[in-house]
Amino acid sequence: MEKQTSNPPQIVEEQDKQTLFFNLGVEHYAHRMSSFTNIMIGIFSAIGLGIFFVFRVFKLNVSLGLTLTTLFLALLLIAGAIFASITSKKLCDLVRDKSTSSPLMSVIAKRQSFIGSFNLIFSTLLFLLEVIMRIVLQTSGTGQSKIPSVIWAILLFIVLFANFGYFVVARGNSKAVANGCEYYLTRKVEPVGLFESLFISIGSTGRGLVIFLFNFVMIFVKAFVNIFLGLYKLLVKGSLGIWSFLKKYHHTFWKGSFRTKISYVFMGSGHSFMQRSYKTVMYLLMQIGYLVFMFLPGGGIYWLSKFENLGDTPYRMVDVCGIPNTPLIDCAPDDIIPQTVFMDNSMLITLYSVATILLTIAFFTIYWISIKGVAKADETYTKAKSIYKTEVLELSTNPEAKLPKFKNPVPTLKTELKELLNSRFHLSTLSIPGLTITVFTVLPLIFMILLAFTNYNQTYGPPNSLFTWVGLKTFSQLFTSVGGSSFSKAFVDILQWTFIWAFFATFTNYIFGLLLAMMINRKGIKLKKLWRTVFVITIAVPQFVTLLIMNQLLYKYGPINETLLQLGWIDNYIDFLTNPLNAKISVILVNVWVGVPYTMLITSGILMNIPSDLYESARIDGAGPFAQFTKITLPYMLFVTGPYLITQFIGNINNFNVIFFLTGGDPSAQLPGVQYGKTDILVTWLYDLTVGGAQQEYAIGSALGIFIFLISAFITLALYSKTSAATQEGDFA
Amino acid sequence: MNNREIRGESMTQSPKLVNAARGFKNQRTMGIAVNILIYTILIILSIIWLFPIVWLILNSLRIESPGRVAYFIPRQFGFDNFITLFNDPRIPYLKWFLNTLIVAIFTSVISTIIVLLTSYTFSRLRFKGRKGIMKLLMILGMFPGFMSMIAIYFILKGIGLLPSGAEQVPVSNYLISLILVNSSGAAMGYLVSKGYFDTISNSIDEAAEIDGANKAQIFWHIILPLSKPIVIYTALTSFMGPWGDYIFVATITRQRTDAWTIARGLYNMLNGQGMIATYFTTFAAGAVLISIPITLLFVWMQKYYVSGVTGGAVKG
Repeated sequence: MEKQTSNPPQIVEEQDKQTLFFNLGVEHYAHRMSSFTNIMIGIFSAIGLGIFFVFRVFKLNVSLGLTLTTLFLALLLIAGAIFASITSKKLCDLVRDKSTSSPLMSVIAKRQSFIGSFNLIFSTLLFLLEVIMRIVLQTSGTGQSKIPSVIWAILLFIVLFANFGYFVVARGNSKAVANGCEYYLTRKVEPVGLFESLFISIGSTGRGLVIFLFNFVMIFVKAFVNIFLGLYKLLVKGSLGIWSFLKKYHHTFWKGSFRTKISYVFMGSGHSFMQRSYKTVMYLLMQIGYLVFMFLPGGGIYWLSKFENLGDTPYRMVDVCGIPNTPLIDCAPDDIIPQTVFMDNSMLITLYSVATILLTIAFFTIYWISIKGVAKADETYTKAKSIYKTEVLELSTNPEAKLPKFKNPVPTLKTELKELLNSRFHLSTLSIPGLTITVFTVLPLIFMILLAFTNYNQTYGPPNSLFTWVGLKTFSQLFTSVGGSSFSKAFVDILQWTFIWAFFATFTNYIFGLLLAMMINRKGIKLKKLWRTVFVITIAVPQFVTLLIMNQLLYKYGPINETLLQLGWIDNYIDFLTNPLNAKISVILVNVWVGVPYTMLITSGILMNIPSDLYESARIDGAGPFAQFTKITLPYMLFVTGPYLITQFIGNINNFNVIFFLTGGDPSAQLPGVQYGKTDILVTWLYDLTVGGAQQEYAIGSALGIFIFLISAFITLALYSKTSAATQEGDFA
Repeated sequence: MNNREIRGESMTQSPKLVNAARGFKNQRTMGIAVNILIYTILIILSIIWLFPIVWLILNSLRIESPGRVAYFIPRQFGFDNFITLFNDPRIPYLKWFLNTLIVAIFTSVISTIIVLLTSYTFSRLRFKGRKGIMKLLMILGMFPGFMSMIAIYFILKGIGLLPSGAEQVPVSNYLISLILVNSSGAAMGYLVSKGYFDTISNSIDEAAEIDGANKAQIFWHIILPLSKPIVIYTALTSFMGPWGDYIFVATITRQRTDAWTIARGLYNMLNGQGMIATYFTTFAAGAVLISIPITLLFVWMQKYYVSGVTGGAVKG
């Protein structure tokens, strides 16, 4: 709220303030109106284009309904663009005719009209293309888009870009107008009637909305750009690293003595020539262990060789004698029974191959570390040896002198162990978590990510059959309706509900928790500790217990319904959990019950830290309790607990427990070909697809898991950078 | 607003102040009215919040029928359900409780050690790749946990902890698996305690280092005694985890009822085939019984919990 006054737009600095404000002030409804309409058009066309864009890129255009929708959107776009360019043109004329002394205003107006016409041209083009494509489609009857989606993407990108520019200009325009207004009001001219003020308020709301949207969108744009920049940097750094590693690898070999050279073949063997044989033993054991693992039958090489196809024979029928402990040759023909012997198991092949690859990476890392260690020790050792030799040579002329003892500069086992507790303490602390995370997190993750590129499901699954690589097919099954897959329908439905759920779950909890904390912490309320404990008890009872109880309470023929019925408040049983909409509302309300005490607990402490002079000065200025809440408490809390809110939002996207224990995803959506419930969120659906139910759609589940990860990571990165930047900016208010 | 004040319009403030003084008495009666309103709201809210728990307790004491009923107040009170809990062979409640306790204690100890050491490492030690590892751990933590569940199940089979065929393995194997699974990823939760360690002044470390302490000693003798709240917070949260964990237990133990934990067992009493009609009140008794120690523990440690959560929340 401070931003507007503390950060005025540039025009004010460049111009004579008074004239500019005056000119703008006189015209301010016109400006407000035009900028408002412009902004609204901008928003509509951006939304329209966004949807259009998604439709096109994912080719969701097979049915007539969708065609009509896209046509409608295109028409809307064109209407919007025409309107925008007309108003911009008007504004331009207005500025020119009245010879407003602000060159900047006319620049804005010009830009606006330029972008408006740009918009118009491209929207028309888009529309024409759409129509042509429809005609082509009608005649060819393939039902598939003939025009490659790349062209669409580029075109739409340009239009989106134009709209984006439109936003920027309209925003600048309204800022200028806002400044004009401020002046206008201070002059105490009475220009505003009822209608006008209504318009102004609508306009300023629109402006606020746009600024908010703009900032919000920009956060994501920035995050997106940052991710790509990061990837690019990583690539550059990685390739440079590989290059310098190769150089080093080569260089170390030729620079070192025989001790280093021999260590290239037999790991750590150089150490035994420097009286540090324990290292040689350690490294050699590792090397032998690795080689044995790789080359043993059924070892690493075996699994890697199968990795390309993920196996070829799932099982074989083998004749076995029916009588126990009898070889087949001695068996009577009647007793011979064919028996299944399982051969390749695609899942185990994938898992063990990934494990082998991870082990190989680890081994070669250790290999390189050992070489570096030997080379370093070798260098100091050689130097010390040569100094010692010259000393001995000098002393050898004197027969009475005592020969000095050679001091080995290479660290001993004892010093190395000591270092592990001091300067290399991080190696000791991180090795065990590193190992467990690799085995129980990284390995499973890579495995599951790989599964998303296979066709692993109920039909193609071990042990009775094999699955194999299918590339991106699983993703297209999940995200597009190609091939009549009903997964995409379920996916879109669940995705929508996931976000609605996460939004409501986070904000209802936050607001109600905050209000509760404020009520309990209010001056003059007694028994604070008792109230707090009452709510804390509900946190302490294990969550699954309370959720299961809630499920029983809300059961259709459960106590709540029966009691309400007996009291005569309702005539029929309420379908708390069996009607889709009711179930959704119930889930959110129960989540309030579950989550509000947490927020209360957390915000209580922070509430007490709000400087009380903020409230006092607000009271003197005549701010009521509501104004105090919206202008002081809420902004302060949002500022301090921003990161917490983000983690909560992500946590709610992944909030398995509440949904699973309360509704289990029910009521079912009854969609043929795929099972999911109306209250299922992405993670509970993932659970049902894989381990939870009989569907065993592992490939789809993995693709879904990757998607969940991507949105969580993206939102976190985008919003965290924003909040941390806010924190660095310094203190609040 | 600012402009108006500068232009000498602060004059308008003085009548406002006078008004405020005049309205002081009014304000006070207003305050009392608001307080009464707040008390009413708080009482209503308390009833709403305590109601399900009270209902649970009532159900655990209801003995006229074991299934669900549509009324709130039991017709007959008694402790029979608690007795059933320990006598019915279909629900080895004591076994489940002990399983959970063992898993919780081990998980808590191992995770706490790992988390504290990892956060100390990231907070105090400087080494190559520190930032990279921190980021990597944070990103790894964002994958939905049970996405890796199937793979973990097969890894545990591969290690030999879980049966790969029809043979039986002892219950302890399942418990070890659960402990491994629960505490293996502990290092990914380093953020909160790292934030706490960051607030401890570095000069204490330096002084100790001059006195000849190594990094391990600094951690053990200096940082750890100064971080009691965060140690308790970490131990508490990791101890509470296994009591509510359902999915991993369900995946790992499958149909081995004697290896189940409380959450799995209680869930089965409601959602198992035909269980709810005979075991609903027993479920309530079981739920009450485990809620008591956990609630006491939580209420007792509340202070640390809050400091831990808010510490992490505010610092990010």
